[in-house]
Amino acid sequence: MSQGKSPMKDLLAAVPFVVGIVASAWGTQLAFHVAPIERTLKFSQKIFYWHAPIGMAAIIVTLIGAGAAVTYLINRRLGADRVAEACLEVAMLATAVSLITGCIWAKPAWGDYFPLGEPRVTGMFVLLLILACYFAVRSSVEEPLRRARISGVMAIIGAINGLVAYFAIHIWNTTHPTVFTAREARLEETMLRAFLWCLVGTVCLTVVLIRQRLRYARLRDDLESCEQLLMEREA
Amino acid sequence: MSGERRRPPAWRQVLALVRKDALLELRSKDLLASALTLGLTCLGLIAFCVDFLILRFDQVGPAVLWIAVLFTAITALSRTFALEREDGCLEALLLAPMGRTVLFIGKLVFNTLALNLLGALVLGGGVLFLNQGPGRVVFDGERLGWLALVLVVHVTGLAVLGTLLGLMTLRSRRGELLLPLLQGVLSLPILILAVIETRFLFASVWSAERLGELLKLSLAFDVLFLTAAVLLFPAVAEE
Repeated sequence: MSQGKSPMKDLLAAVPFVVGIVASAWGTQLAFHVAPIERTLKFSQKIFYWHAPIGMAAIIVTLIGAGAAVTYLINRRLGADRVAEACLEVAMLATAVSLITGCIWAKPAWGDYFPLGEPRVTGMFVLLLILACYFAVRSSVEEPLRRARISGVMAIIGAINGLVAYFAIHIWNTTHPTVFTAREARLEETMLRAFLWCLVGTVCLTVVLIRQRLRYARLRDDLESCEQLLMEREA
Repeated sequence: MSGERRRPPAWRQVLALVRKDALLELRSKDLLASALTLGLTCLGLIAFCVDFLILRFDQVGPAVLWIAVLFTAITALSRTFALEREDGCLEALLLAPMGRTVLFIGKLVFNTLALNLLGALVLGGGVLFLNQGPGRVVFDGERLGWLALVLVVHVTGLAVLGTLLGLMTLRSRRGELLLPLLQGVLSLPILILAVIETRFLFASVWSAERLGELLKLSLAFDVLFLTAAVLLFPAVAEE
């Protein structure tokens, strides 16, 4: 039987991609041509329109990944493990990008590419290392069910560790700018508009990446089970 | 059934596991030979590389001492789990008629005791030999007591994390390489807290109240890790 998807489904799948590209392009245009130059940080502040949404995406996607790992350990469905894997891989990419963009911004703002001891920088760096460990654990176990179980445990321990890191480093005083508090956004209206468009773009592109990664994981697992069947038949 | 032998209580099972590990260690002296030697080597390297007559011990000391403690802990944990791996001991333990949680607690108690002893030797040695120069810290009974408390709280955190990770990587490919990597990365937050608290304790002006508050935070994380580890261990040991 044909497993092809309907054209309507294909069209729906393309929506986040198109919205992501359009919103990102529009947000960038607003950031460079409409939003004013910030008084103290000057032109270097423009990177904020990408840096902040990507940083937010990294943390949210990590939490979703950890949630999926918990779900796997409760209901033992491999689908949840695949979601955890896809989310945490995208989170790792987003964390790396947010660290790189942060370093580019830190040079003109703080005088160093990597301000040692700055809590949020250290926190994101620790998160990146934890996510790298998750994939080291995944690649060290071959049997799929055991791999899912062990990496689920690793994802939960990693999430708790990220939480500990967050509290540990916030004991120090931070010099990182706080733009969004629980009550207000300390941004001028045009700046906020540019930021929100970039945020929408980042969210949509993150969804696209997770979907692609999920699709790949599903195909890989199908291939693995086909290989297993072939080997059993040959034996 | 009337003929069935009654299972000993959980605490006796834990005690039996601790006794087994302690006996193995007393016979082989593996931990002392490998982990303590590495810890003392770290102290030697620090003594050669960091001139405490120029750099202040009260500021630099906590960081370098805790790095030495971490290396000692990583080596000790690798060694205890290598023994289980080499002789297929874990399979036998899993077949034994006891709960998985008991097995975890047994390993944890031994690791906590061993790491605390090793940590005390390394940290104590460091304070004894490196505490000199303009940043010399004067230790009275109260300060020593708090230092011991800081050591116990953080080393116990390292032991909880290390025991779960050790059992997790025991049957993985490249497990002996993976454990130091995981332990190193996941210990970072505990290490950061340990360094902050030790530096606070070594400062010329410090207050027991503030240190107590910081220690409560570390203790809360120990409890959090312990609860997570006890809950997650059955999933790790499931075969």
